[in-house]
Amino acid sequence: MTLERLLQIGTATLAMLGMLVLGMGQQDPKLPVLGAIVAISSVLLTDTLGWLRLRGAAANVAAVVAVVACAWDMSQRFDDQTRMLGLANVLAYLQFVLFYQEKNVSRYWLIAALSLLQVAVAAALNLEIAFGGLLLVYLIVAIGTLTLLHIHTLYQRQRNWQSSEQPANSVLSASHTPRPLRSPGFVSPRSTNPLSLLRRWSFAFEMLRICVVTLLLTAIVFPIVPRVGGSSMQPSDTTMMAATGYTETVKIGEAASISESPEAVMRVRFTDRGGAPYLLQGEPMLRGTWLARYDSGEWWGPSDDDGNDQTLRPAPEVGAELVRQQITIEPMTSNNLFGVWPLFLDESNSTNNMLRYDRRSECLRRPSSQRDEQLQYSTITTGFQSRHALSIVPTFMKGGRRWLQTIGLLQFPERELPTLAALADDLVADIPATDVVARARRLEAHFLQSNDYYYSFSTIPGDPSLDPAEDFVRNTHRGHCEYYATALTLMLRRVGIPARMVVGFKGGEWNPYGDFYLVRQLHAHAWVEAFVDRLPEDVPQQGANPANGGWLTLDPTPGRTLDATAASHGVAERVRQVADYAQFLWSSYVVRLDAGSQFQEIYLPIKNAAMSLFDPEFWQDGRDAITQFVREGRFSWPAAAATFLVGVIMIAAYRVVRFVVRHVVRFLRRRRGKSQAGTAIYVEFYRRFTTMMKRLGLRRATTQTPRDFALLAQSWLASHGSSQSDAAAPLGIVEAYYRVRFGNQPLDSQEHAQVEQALQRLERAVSAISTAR
Amino acid sequence: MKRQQNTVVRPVGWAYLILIGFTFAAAMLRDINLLMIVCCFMAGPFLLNWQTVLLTLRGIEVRRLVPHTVCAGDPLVVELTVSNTRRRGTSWCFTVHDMIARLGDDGRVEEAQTASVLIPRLAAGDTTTVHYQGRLARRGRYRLGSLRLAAAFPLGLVQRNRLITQHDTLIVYPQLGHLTRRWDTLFREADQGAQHVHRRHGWQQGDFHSLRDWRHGDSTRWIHWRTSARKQQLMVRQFEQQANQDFVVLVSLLRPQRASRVDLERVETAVSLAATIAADVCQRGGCRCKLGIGARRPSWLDGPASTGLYDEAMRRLAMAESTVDDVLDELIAQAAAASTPGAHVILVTPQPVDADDFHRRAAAAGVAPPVGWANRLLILDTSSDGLDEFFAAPDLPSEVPSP
Repeated sequence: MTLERLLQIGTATLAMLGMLVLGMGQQDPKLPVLGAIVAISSVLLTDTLGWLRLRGAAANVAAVVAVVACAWDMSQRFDDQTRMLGLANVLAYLQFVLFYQEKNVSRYWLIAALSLLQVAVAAALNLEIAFGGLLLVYLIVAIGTLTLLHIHTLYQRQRNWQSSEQPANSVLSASHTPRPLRSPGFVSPRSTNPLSLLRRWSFAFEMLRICVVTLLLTAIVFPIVPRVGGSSMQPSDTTMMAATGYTETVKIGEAASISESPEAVMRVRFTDRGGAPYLLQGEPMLRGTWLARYDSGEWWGPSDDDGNDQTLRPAPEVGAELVRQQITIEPMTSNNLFGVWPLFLDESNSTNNMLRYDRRSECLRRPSSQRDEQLQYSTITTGFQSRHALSIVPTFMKGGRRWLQTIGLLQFPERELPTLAALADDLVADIPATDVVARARRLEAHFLQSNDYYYSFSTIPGDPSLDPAEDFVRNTHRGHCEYYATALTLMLRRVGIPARMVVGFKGGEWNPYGDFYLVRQLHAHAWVEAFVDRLPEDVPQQGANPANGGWLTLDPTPGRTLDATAASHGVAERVRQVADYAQFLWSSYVVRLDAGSQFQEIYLPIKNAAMSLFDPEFWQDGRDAITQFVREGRFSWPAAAATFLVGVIMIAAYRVVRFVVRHVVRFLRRRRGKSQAGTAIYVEFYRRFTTMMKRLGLRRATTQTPRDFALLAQSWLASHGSSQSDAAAPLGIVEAYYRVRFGNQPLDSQEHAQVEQALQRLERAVSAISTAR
Repeated sequence: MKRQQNTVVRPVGWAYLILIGFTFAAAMLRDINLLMIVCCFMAGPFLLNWQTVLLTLRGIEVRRLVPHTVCAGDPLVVELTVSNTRRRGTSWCFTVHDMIARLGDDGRVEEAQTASVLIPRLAAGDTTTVHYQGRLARRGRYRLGSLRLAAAFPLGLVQRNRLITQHDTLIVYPQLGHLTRRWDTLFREADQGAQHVHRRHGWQQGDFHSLRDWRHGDSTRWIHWRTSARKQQLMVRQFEQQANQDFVVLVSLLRPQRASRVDLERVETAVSLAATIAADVCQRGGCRCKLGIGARRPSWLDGPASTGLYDEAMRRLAMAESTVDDVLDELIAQAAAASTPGAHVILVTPQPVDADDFHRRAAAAGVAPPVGWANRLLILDTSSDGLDEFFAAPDLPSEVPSP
């Protein structure tokens, strides 16, 4: 393995990585596969064996053909993104042409530059964290390859110096003859094998240092560089999630089998007022919309009427436990947004301004133009108490029962649902009509506690001539959540309780690293909300009028109660959670970092931190934290921060002091050194003498005095054909050295000249012997 | 030693910066955060390259060891001792460039070459000795320096240069050829015939040569008391016995006004021959040698054949420039006046000169040469084919200056 071979492999790897990231962005494996074939084959056929090498004209023709073909292809494309893909293809094809040419330094650089441009194009197309990981690998490979290229260039130049018939950098005056010099230029012997450089730990450390410092610089610069736009550019996601789980219309009664899609829908994070994670007991129920109208197994809800759009109400200041829910939702075909009800405005997040809240229907939506983008929003909810979800939440809808009747919440097709009606009447016969909650709970319990009903993803109608709800209650007793919610909603209406089906998501996968729920399509759920005319006294009013009533949450679907926080602790699960959290961070803080979130997440905390340095309370808190830590031995973040700050200050002070001391010492040494220059110069002749002897292989042993060594050198020189005067030179030099070094007698100019002459004679003798060898 | 240093962005570095700029502009204008990351990933190594080249040459000291003299065409080995005086930090892949310039008579640079040595790695506190070698084709005075250090490790985008103004002077002697056996035979016979005639210099029997240990039989008058006191042992003066005949070597560097290459080569051959003769004479020793150089600045040298004379002769021949003025008369006059009886007279000339012409010039000089001077005259014409009888030109003929 030679250095150049290593360089060829590195360049091929770099190119393959570039095409791989580009293929990821294009979501097409053709280019990476083709690129790998070309790169690997070129290393074998072109670089190693030399069987296939495109010469000048052929290479130019190939390049022109590639450019023309791609230009024609781009002309058929009509949007920026696909044109960019076309441009990237041009870069790839030009790289292919370069690969099959004989490599020189400039071609290596061109291949690397084209690869870099491909990565730049891919950066506009990729969103996933895998791209970030590949970018890191690319960085490492690129640094290594460019370093190899530089070393290769240096050694190549050295080889040129050695083989050149003319001086490499000869600068000749105009008076020189036109014919070349007959003697070769000056050459240096071949240096050490370049591969021996690469095997050193210090070389690897140097490469690692560059990578680490680059990453640190990126981590500092990237968040700080101001963003000028409002939102970061994202490639349009043409594969918006079709709602295989969540739907805004429900249709039951068909023979079907639900496949649970693992596609991630959103990440939900609950925090309290202080920003600490708010851990729930039980699963959160994230309402999307509600469905009121029912007809022969089909449900539909309120229309998306922009005329009712308003802003969310401000959160009540007293009387309720306020929990912030921060939701990052992926692109969806639906405009609906989700959350635990009731929702209030989160004033700390400016992105909430784009949200549309229909106060009439109490539905939260996003603009249709933003359906194809990931969205981060946050709201305040009062739907929890002591980490448990409230079963009854107040409503802010006015109009009461009459209004609900108007919108169909008491609609009950009696003719189609006789069995269901009879069953409902029978179940609540012994409960007063005024006790709405008890009646509703009785009806819910019928499905939850009965052994006749069971959950099933597959549904086959028992009697297709019947209403699906009727068929479910009378015959099949099996189905998924929509069946149960349908049945309970209709039964509640039968007994005079306004009820609606709610569709949304229930639960999610708890990620302990990010403290959020990862909600997937398979968590889509349907449940029921029953209207209660008046809020019970133990239910917090939350700023609503108790006379408006509230909504009782009912979930009749059996066998789906999972404690999301008790997730599997297997290694695979943990890895998956870590990966998911990493993807979340990547998406939130890298891909979608815009001016607003930058101000919120970076500038503002930095500013606050800087301001706090001038706040005496901050220092007092730090001192108290350190004292507490020392006393109690408990770790605390403020103490750690204060300790870190003190440590940094101490290190900085040490560096400053060391810098000053070093410079002062250096200054003093220089001043002292000038006065001792004479002595240094006189001893220098002895150093020259020993250096000359080294060239002959003579070194003074530690047990030899300089005079003994000089005698040895004298006899050696004499035995190798030196003249008497030349051979006598060492002794004279050493005698002078003795006087200077031990006798503290500096040489006068004449003696200095004699020593110089002796050195010159010795030099001639040494050169003659060296040449003769 | 003055130091000058600068840092430059190499052409590939400029292309790299353009790529960074393009990427940054696209990232800012289109709000593509991942492109910003790519830009940061590109900028980091560039900045670190800059920092590394600054550190690489910091604390690097270079000392050059140059032979005081060398003959033209002979291998010249220049040794460089490179030290990394830093306490921390390895210096990687830097190059030391040395400038070798031939100086004209007026001190101006006439020609220059650069020798470069690559230092792959030099750890902190380490010292390494490297050398470069080559051949200087032309005789004359050369100046070595300044030394330029260049580093661009690791990526080659940025280069740091540091100039160390350290000059050394090198005198390149004329190329030595080989005197043939005919020459040896000629002058040995001559010396053998004249050996019974030797100059008497009185009781000292010759010139002072050097000091040596006292041996049994040495005269006490020869003891050098000062040296003996210093060395704590008896040291005596050693005298040289002048047993051989003196030599008078005249070399003419006359060339035509419009000299062709051939003319100049003949002049160089004459210099080379004169140098070879002088070296041979000095090596033989035991005589006096007088050297007259008919160059643009004529010079005359006279002394016992010794190393010192050899050095001086070679130095003067190295610096001698051809001339269009015929100064042979002057040389002959000087030679005639300084010549001793029995001395060998050798005239080296690039143009034909016959013996009669020589004697006529000598007579015209008005100086009476020693008796038998004419019988020991040897004219070596470098334009003649007969030169091969006495002199084999060197294998690598030295470079000639332009016509």
